[in-house]
Amino acid sequence: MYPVIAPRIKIDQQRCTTPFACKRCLQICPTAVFSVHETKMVRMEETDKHEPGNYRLVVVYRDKCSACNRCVDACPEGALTVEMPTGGQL
Amino acid sequence: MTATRERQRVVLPKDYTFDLAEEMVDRIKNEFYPHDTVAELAPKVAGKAPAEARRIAEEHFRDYGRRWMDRSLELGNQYRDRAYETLLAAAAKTGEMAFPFIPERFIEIAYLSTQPIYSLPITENTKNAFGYKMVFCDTIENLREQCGDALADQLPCREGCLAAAERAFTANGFDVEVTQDASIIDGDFCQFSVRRKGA
Amino acid sequence: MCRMCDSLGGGGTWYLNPKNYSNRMYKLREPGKGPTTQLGNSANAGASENAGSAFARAVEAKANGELETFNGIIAEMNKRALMRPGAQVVPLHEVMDVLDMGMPVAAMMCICRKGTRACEECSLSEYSCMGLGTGMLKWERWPERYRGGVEFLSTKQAKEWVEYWDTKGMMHMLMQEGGDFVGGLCNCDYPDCGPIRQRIDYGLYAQLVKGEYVCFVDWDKCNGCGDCLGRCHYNALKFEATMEKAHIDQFECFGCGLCETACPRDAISYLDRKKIPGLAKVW
Repeated sequence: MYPVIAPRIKIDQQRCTTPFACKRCLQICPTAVFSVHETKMVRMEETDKHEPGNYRLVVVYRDKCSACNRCVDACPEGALTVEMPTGGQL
Repeated sequence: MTATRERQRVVLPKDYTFDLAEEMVDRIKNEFYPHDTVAELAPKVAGKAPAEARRIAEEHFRDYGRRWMDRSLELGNQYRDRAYETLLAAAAKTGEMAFPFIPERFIEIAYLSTQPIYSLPITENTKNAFGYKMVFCDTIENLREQCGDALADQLPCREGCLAAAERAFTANGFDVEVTQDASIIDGDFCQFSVRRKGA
Repeated sequence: MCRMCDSLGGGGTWYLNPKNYSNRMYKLREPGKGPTTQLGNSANAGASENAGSAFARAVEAKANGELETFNGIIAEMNKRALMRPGAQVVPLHEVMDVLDMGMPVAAMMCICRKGTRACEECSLSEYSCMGLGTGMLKWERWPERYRGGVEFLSTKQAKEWVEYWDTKGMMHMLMQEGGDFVGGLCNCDYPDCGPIRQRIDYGLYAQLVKGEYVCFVDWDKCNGCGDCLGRCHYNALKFEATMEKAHIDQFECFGCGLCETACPRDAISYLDRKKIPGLAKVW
């Protein structure tokens, strides 16, 4: 393994509110860097995926991001930005 | 890949309970408290020769074990819980799960109701075999206190456990052989195994 | 794997020991304790991925090019988890032996794929995960954990279901999640499976321990048809073009046997890892 600096992925959580219902970035990412987690787990009921804030999109495998930008294009809310860090020369 | 699925969101009744009913546990406890059954036995064995005392005690516990399990079966079917309902539905659907899980439920009810434990350690519950351990047993403690070590060391109370375990399975239509694999007199716990006959 | 064989296996393969699948149905509430209002960490596959976790710090270090930091965190995580493996690879024929024990088996959605691909599986042909043991009788307490429901299966149905996933190219693993109780049987692939990914991308060895076997190609029987190719999730299986034969790297092989179940000529067999001196400690 040699050191490589990975892109930075920013998720605007104000815009990305129902990621488990939307799923576009999660299903389009070639390297599967995202994960979606429920923010609440209630006894005897499923979490409502349409209620804003019940699920949260996170970047779990950032080192796998190639900055192909497919997720950015797929996001209907414009919630994602992917940038190469500046000065990322090793 | 799974698309977004629009279906009714699962919301279950809030009154579902997956635990054993406390009222049932109390009722069995009151009727089959180890202290009380040993207190009934004590005068029957007082002053008897060791072999005779043992015979009387074993008979006493056999009878206790059967009645204890019969009551657990009766009340266990009266006080249902959602885990039991799910088990019955799954057993009906698969045609397989009744052994050992339905009898297991009643064995757990019997021990949890009367012994100082919060859960019963299960050593095996597979297709043809079931086993469990009793580590903290009030019966043997009471037997020592009320009837003395000589009788207690014979472990006549094993007959109660053997009879109860067998009853739990035969009452549910299973032909089984019940054995004791470990004794609390020789070690730290009693262990019983139930094996399906012909399997 | 000493602890696994000695204390859990009773001398044999630990996951074939019925004791490791045994569980009570009920627990009385201890005085002063209310009902569970939260799921334990072990039931929440996402927990290890949460921000601030050691794993999240490791990935961040790797993504920032700080390999020394990354290696340090991974080494520490491996040390802690060494005696408490998360899962082990099991070949199809032994999955069948496990299913013969007959504990409640219930097919359900894959919790890893729910996270990584936001999949919502809700039928038997979609469920690729299986819960084992009496705990499954209480799945309704947490419908979100078992989103899409569960389906209890007979031994025969369960075997057909695992064969279906094997045919589709999913490998099998038994989940113990650090404990002494086998609670799940997963059919998995890369990249949506958490354990596979944590092991092969980040070197978290204990998250997914290799199987008891290593696959071996008999070149007298292999005719180079290539039916096995593409089924290996571990980069162990290649096509040796000059020899026109399948090639398995014994050190990369996890012993999942997906190549073996795909071979129409019985050219692939299982070697006992423990009996091969150079591989006996490669888990």
